[in-house]
Amino acid sequence: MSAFTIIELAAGTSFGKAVRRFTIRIAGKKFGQITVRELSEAATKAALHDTERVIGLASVIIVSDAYRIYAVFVLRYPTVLKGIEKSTFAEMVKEAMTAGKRSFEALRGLIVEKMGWDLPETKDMHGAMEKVAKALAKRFGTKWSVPRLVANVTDGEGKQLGGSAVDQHRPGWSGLDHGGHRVEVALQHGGAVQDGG
Amino acid sequence: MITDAGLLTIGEQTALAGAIARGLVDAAEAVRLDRAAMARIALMVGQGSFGTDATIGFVDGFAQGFLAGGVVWKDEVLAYLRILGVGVTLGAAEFFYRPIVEEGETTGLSKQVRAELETLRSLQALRPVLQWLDEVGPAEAIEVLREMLPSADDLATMIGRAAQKWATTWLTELIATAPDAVAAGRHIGKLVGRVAIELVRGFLEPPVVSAQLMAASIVSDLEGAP
Repeated sequence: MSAFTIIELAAGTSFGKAVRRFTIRIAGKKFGQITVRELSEAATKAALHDTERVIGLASVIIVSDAYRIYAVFVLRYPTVLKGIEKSTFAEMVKEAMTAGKRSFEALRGLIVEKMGWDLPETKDMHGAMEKVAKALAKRFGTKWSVPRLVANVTDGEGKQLGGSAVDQHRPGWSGLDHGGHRVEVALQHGGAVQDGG
Repeated sequence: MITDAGLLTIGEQTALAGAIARGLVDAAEAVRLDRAAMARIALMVGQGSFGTDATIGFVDGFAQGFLAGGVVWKDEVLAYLRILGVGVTLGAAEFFYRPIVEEGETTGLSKQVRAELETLRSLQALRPVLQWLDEVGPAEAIEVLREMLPSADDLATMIGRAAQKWATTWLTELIATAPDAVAAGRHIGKLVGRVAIELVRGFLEPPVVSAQLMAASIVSDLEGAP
């Protein structure tokens, strides 16, 4: 006999109502939010070797931890986390920790990458870029385009080369649009795969 | 060990005794038992000590049924946590006290993470339930019973329905106990105790009844109950 037929025995009885009053009393508001029946369905799935939920559970625990870490970090490193919302940070941490080898290096890479998107507007970075541009001009001649700061530079296999890089290309090239060539461009003429800001 | 009916007041015992006698007879008539079976029940109920004895059995049976259902419930919750990997990657105790992102703080998080947070939150909400199930013993079960003493009508309804659903097992077993009033009372008490705990569980859990769930191993664990 299933749990449902057992419950059905008391349908419409005053006994059922008395049990409900009792349940409300012992449970209070807290118990009211429990959704175990749905979870039982999930358990059925999980029993069928569905590991997705296990990963999900691990990831939300990481997200929750990241929220707490963020609160500490934002006080200590306000500049680093400038423009990075708590939720963005948490998702970044989750991505880094649940994908692949769960390495802290991957996490650092993600943070640097995120910073790379925001930093081109800063004065320090522009100053650094000018220096790089001058050095490059001296070394390779002046027939190169004005260097620009780019982020998210990847090789042909999609592997990240660094946080921020300086891109400079020969006249007539449209730079990063050239797929596989961008690696060469960034490495040869940027030489500036900058990690850590 | 028999759970003591003396945990109830004399008034409560008397009310329960009357309810068991009338409920049993009403149900037997309603399901049109054959003459021989009716005679056995009538003989048993007609004993002068039936009320007292049946109440002793009922109280003990109620505690048994209630606690058995609680054990099943707890086992299923823990089995679910094991499936989720809690206890392997994370201790169960740590899991329940682990602070997670508050409901109002989820803005900006991906839909998937928000859904998983919800799952985790509802799992964590089980902590007080598990604690309660740990604390409940026979004496507590009787305290529960005091709050939900079934009337004769209630018992007639439940016995009648049980008789209709499982006539060949549940009712046959009941009749087989006659004229042992304690055993008959215990048989009914077990059923009512199990109904009570399943109701508590049902109230706490949304009534999602699907064919898939009915077929699940979780439910098949309840086979043969109460």
